[in-house]
Amino acid sequence: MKRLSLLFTMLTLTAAGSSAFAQFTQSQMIAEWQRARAYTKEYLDAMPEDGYGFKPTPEVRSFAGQMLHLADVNYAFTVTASGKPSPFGQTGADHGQLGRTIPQTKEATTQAVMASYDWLISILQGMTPDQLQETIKFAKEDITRFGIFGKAFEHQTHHRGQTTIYLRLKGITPPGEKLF
Amino acid sequence: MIMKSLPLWGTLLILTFPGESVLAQFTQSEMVKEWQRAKAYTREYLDAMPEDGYDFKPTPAIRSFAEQMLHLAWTNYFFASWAGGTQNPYEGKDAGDLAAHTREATTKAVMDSYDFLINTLQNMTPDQMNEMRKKGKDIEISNANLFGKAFEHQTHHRGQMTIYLRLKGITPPGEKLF
Repeated sequence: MKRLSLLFTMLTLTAAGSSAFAQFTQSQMIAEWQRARAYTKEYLDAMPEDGYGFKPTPEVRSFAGQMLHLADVNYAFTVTASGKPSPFGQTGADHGQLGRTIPQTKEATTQAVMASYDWLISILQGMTPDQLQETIKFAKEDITRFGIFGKAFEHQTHHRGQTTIYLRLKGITPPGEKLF
Repeated sequence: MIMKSLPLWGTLLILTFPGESVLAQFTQSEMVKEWQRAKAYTREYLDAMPEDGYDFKPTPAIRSFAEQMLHLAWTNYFFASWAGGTQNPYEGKDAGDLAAHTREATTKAVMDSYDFLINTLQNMTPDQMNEMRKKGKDIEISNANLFGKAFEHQTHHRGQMTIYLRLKGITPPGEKLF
């Protein structure tokens, strides 16, 4: 009897995982973020220095402004997903710090954007499966910490995408779409 | 009795922990919900651009707004049929031929592509989702991850169209991450 109930427990535990639909390993997730980092670097490299202040219309962010916003939000989502403060003490409320403080030069912007990916990747590498599956409240919704990294991924894709047209308007052929 | 139960135990343990390397998991309802949001978000872009903007190109070298949208739609079909192992209804067709480049026809074609993808996704089993596929010689990728690539693709192109709207003097829809 004792053995049977233990068996049932095991079976229940096995079945509990049946809601898992798609599974990602740590190495897959890190590889996706490293690709994203390299892809964004190609954009940073493609824009010449004099394009960093370029805006397609006066109401929108400059190229550097877009890239620094991307970096700011990489930090903000990582802070939310991990519960850790950013290297410069950001705790999530402010996500405009780099946009206000980093000079909008090619060198400084590139450095700040790459540092944001590096920090995100290092935090992601340090998280356990249990931590990533933990559900938290964000924007009034229940979401896993893993899901927050997914939102961060979407966010940087969206803004990098926008800057494709900035490059085109400067007469530059953008980097090829690097999905793999 | 104890000895006999051990192999069974071992089997159960192996069944329980085959995904030891698994770090994170999505449920089917989470993935479908993300795609439904993506569909609604793209719909806001389709609605935001007036009819006369569907042929608009920021520079002559690139796709018009309608061509961007139809490329997005074509690629939704491409990835969904690849990951789902189903027939791509637009196999061999160019994206630009998916529909007339009017607001109405483009909107319908794009919405249909999301419905096709979401329907494919809903019919996948967990085993199918985690099945690995070869891409070229060097890349192995799960069907789940192919849906992820499709998601990234449509985000990238929708993102580009933000600037098309801005150049037409239109404030784009707010970023709909949730």
